[in-house]
Amino acid sequence: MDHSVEHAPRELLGSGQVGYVFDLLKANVVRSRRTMAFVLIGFEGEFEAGETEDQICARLVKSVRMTDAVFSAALPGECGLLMPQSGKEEAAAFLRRFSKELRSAGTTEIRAAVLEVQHPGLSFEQSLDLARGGLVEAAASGETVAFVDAGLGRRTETVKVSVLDPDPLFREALSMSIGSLRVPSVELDVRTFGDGLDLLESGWTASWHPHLVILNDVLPKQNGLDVLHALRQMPNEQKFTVLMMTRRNSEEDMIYAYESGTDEYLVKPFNLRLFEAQVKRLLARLWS
Amino acid sequence: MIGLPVGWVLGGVAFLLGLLLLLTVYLFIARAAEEKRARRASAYLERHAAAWFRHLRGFEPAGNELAPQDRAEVSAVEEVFRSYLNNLAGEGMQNRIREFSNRHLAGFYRKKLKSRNWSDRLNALYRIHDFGIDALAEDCRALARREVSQEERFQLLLIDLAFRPDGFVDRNIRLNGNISEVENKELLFRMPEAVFDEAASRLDELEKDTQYALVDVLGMKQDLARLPFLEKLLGSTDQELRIRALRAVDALGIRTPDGILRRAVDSPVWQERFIAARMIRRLPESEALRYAEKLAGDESWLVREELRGLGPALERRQLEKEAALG
Repeated sequence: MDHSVEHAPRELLGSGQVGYVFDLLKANVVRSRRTMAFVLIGFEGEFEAGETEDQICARLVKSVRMTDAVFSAALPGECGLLMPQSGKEEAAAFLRRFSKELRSAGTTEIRAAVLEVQHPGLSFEQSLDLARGGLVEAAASGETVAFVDAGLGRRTETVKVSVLDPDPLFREALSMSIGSLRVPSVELDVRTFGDGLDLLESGWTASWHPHLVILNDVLPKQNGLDVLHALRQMPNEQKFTVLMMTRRNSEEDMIYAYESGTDEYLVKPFNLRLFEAQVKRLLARLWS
Repeated sequence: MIGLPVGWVLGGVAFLLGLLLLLTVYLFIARAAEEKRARRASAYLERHAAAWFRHLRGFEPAGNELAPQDRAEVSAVEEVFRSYLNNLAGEGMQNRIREFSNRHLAGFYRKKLKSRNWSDRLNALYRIHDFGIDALAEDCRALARREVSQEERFQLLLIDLAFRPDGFVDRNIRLNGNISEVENKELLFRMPEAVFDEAASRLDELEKDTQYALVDVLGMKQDLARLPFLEKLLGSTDQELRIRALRAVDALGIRTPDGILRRAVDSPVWQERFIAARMIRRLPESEALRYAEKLAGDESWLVREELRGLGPALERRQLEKEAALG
């Protein structure tokens, strides 16, 4: 029996399929917290080299990544593109490349509108309308690419934060410090624990929420490295971002902590502003 | 057999029972007082933890409500400062702790410094140093003029170094001999660069233990710029100082200059030859073998053992030499 898999030839998605594909990719946007670029391309001028509009759309299908989907936008002179795990910068870079390719082939000029899809409430139809508005703006301003904002931003997401340190006053200080941070579209739910075992037995780790764990390496009952190993053994371990605090400053200790799965390492005593900057950076990295 | 009247025995038992009862009552009262203090401290922390966070971050000045009213609240404030200083760094935070302590805690510790209880005085010295209470610098100097324990002496030196680094070496050049080698090293480690430089430049005037500690600290600091200074010490008549200086050179982790290595390899002192054998391992093999040949038959087992890694290369070289001779 032949188990070889052949890639299906990529095709232009029709209006019946694109809504479904859009919803599927949008669900991944929410799950993976990586934006999707919605691109609407408009063709202008004469098709000098004898290429038809359909042929240019077909050329687009060949130029995009395997993960991207090209669709027919129903109106004449338009072609659409869904670029998962991409932002407006990646979309703009692709459009520059594609535009150059068309110019060297001596065919039509393009204009495009780019919209970043981040919010689960944004539908395909709304995206298409917004992008069409963007194309009109681009034509009016003479720009090749217009960036459109859906005005919905990102859906506010709850991020769990666990602070583990045996010193109750320090725990409280860190909790207040984290509580005072303002990160766009992120709501922090902070809890403190005096020991690793308390966290693991609390049931606090059993949810899909992104979870920032700030823990001391030395803890009573179950120490920080044991907790780290336990978290990394969990099936959905990628949701944990771990910041390890320690008094040990040796390279060996750091290497071991990183190899065990810590994301950041802070040597005590540390500056609280440095800590806040690191936490903000870790939270910002949740979305890309 | 000694006969005692029953009345005496019963009286003795009753006296002992009474004493036991008094002791028990005392322990209960003391325990209750301690628990009350702990409750007060805990209530203070609960009320003011957030205010302390805002103040120590520099978001707001310390309000009067933060000033401790009794011993329990002082211990709560100590706990806050201990926790922040232990875990967090920042000049602004340390300055705010110093200002608050000078204003609200200095009187409390002044009394403790005058206590006849050794542990009260020592704890006060720890706090004065940790919280930077320079308002008590004069009180500490007065205490330093008295007969104090070694632990107190060390704390007083740390306080003097922290509050008056200028002239520290002049004032204490002979006193360092009263503290242990470990304490000496800690003191030297904490010295600002200028004070350390002065101590190093007056090495001959320091007590022997302090001299050795200083050389060890130079090795731990791994400051290459100190190599000429260490090299000078290698010519010392003090064998212990020479060995420690050589160990400090080894700790720098560099390829040891040939002059130093040659002298160490030819030294009559086995410790110096042992360190030389360790230094050799950082040389390219051909050079290492040149020195290793001299040390291969050393009388000290430790020196020979240190060269074990070069054994096969040494044997090979020996065979080559024999082959060349025909």
